[in-house]
Amino acid sequence: MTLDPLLLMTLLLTAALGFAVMVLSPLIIELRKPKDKGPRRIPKTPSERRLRSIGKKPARINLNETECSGRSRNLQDALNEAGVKVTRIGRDTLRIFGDFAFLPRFEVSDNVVVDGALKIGDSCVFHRSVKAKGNVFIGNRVVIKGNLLSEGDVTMLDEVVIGGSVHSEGSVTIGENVFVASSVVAVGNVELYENSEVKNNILTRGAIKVLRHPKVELPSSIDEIG
Amino acid sequence: MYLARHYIFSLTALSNGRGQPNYTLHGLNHRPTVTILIPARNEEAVVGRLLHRITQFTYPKDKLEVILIDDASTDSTGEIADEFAKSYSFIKVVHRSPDIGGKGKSSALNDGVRHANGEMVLLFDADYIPQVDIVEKLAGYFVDPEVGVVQGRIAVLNEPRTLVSRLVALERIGGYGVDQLARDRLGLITQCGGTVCGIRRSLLEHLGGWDEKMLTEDTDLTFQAYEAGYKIRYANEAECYEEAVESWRSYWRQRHRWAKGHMQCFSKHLVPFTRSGNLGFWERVDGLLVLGMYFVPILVGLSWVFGAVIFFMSPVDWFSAIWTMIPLFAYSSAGNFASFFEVGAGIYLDRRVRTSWIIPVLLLAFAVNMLICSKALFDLVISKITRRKAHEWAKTVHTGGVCR
Repeated sequence: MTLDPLLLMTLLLTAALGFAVMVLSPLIIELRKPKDKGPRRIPKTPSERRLRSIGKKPARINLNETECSGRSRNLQDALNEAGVKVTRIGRDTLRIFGDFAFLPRFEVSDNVVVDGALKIGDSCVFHRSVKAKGNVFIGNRVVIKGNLLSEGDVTMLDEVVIGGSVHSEGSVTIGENVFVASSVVAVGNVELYENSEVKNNILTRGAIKVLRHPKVELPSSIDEIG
Repeated sequence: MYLARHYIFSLTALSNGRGQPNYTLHGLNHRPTVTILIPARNEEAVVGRLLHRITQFTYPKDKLEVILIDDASTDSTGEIADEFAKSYSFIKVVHRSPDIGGKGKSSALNDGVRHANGEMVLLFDADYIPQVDIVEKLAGYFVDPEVGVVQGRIAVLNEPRTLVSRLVALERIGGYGVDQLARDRLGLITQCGGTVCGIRRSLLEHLGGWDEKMLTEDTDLTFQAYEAGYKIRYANEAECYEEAVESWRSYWRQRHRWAKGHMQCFSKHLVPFTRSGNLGFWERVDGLLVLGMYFVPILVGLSWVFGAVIFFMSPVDWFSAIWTMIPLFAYSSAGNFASFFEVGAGIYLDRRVRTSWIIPVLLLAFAVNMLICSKALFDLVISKITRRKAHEWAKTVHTGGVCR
């Protein structure tokens, strides 16, 4: 069956006209008599969204931060020597590609961003912030003077000191005698072992567990982690 | 590629998927010291409104510093700012003399940042009305050492006034509520809009401030930040309300500057951005698409012209021509105008269904932008050939008219 071209053109033009009327009628109505008067009302007070939180715990540890200072090394030189791929973000931040482990007693003056999982050996000192795209495992007596951010889980062994906040997209485990000077924010669960202190608050979408008698022992050193 | 990109962005914004961490919504209290920079030239109608709003900010005032840069104004902008500076110790005014002032926003900002003491610099245009807790919302992201810039959302305040202001509002809804949001969620190239954005001061020091030769200092900063290894985040919850242009003349002047500036950025950043070792594959692809964005209306316009020429020059079998036109029409509806779907998605997300009725007006804007981009390219080529400095700053006039 063949269609008469004139009929086809008439049909198409009618369809186009119908489409135009359908689209343009609301436009003309809304332009002539606008009902939508613009964006939502400007809020006069701040909007606050808060996750579940608990207050601070009364405990404080006493860590001598100078323990590690005599053994500092230049991180970028060390990484270059080891053949690790590393770039600099601006002036004050190092980005390390792939998973990475800091040996014990390292001292780092820059911010550190690791594009993978991160392990920090015992007694390391970070003078600024640390961020990892994977899980973070922090050894005993580590000091991070800035913030600690992870897109995975965070595990802190005993006597760790965090000068800022801890933010995790996974769960956070806080060992004994840990001190966090600001908040702990986690999307997953937060587990605290005895005598740890979080100065501000703990915010989580998961559960908050305070463990006095842990069923699972944390390893005594980072060396025990594979 | 742009077609696929726009649809992916629309779907990403509509889906409730988790993107990069949102430190502000997660409740992280990061409170760095902040310097707010406000470049103002002949803004007496609006500058008092903004300064009054800033005095209502909930951010701790001991961590806040406001620097208004009076860019050789010939009206009472400077006097209004001085009055506020007398009453509030955290507000300072930098007066620029006529011999150094009036050379554009970048020049004024460079002057202002020399007086800044904050770890983070926050930019507002004089006609803006920010949320009172906007600083907290933007500053929260700087907890991440990788973040160099945080961009907030811009909404149009004088939307119902004219057809042009409604058009700009639609563009803002699609551009911020969907495009920027999706880019942030997908970890692509989020753009700094040059206003309602926080910038790490160490980044500005690293870059040596804003490049005064560039007409769109915001796009230039975006690419410089990514090349330096920083990320730009978008905070959809940090809203600020602007006075959009209301006439076609102002629209043309503003968009002409944007198009020209973007094309400048294309030639400046094409090679360094492609070669930067700090970027992933998809960031690189998206960055190149962002750089080439203002050439798309020109290419579409050319294809329409050539299509019409071929159609009328060569003998046509009308029956087959009609069949050929159907897929072409379909592509023009769904392909070239895929960005309209972003606007539709943004309207849906904002729960403003009635606004979707005026989406067809975007066709008109698309046609105007074809002309604007073509003119901008022509002007740039001419200025290159004649080696004439043709980059003059076209200031947008603000009246202070608010619809509520």
